[in-house]
Amino acid sequence: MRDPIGCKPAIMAETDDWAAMSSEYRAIATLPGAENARIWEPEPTQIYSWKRS
Amino acid sequence: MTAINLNESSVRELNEKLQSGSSGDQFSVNNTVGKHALSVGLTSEINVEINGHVGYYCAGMNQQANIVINGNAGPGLAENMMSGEVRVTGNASQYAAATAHGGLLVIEGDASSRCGISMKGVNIVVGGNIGHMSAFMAQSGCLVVCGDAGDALGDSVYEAKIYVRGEVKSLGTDCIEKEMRDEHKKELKELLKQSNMNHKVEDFRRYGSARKLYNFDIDQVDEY
Repeated sequence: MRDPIGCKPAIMAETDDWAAMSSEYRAIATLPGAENARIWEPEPTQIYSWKRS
Repeated sequence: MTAINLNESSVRELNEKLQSGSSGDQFSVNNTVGKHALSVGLTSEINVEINGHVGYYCAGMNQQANIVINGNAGPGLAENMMSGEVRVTGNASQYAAATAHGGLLVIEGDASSRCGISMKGVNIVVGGNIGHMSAFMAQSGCLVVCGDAGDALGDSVYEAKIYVRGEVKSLGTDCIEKEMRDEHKKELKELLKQSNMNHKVEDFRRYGSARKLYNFDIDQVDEY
């Protein structure tokens, strides 16, 4: 969950194979297929969850 | 066209090369992998194309240069820009164009929170949505939002003009909706044209300062 005022650096990325969260894109850039991942900045206080299909 | 590969050159070498470019020079930058402070402090009319996502403070303090980022930008994009044009084809993170004095910033995707915070004359056009606290204490210039705006838009705004096409989640303190007069329609039309955004001026609403915070209100002395 993102901090309520959305001040802390945060970025999320997902592909069909993985989901990742980090404080900046540099950490995600090295993952396989990162260049085509869906990338967004999480909303304040929003909860994100994933489950295996 | 000079191509710079960041697998081979350091960020410092890149910025030195761009800062010593002469008017009309073309540069392309590849393998950015989210590196910070790319293409900063440029002072001449050069064209820079950056291919890939960039990290913090890209295109900071830009003067005259035309910078295109084919990807997303991290926090602090075009911070304190003075002139020139910066365009991002993806999204931009927090406080894009903070304190920027001039030039044009175009974000084709969404901008995150605090977009245009304390802007001092820059024009910002966002193709998508913007996050909360955008145009906080914005002094002059225009913020154009073709999508929706988040909470507390234009809190404590001075004389910057805010145009929003979609929904505004909430307005900040002292920010109100204002009438779209002919001079505003003309200004907005010109900005949409410059930024290649294909929207009708009539779909936008204007927001600005109610000017209630300019002077101390004696009735609120107990608040202090």
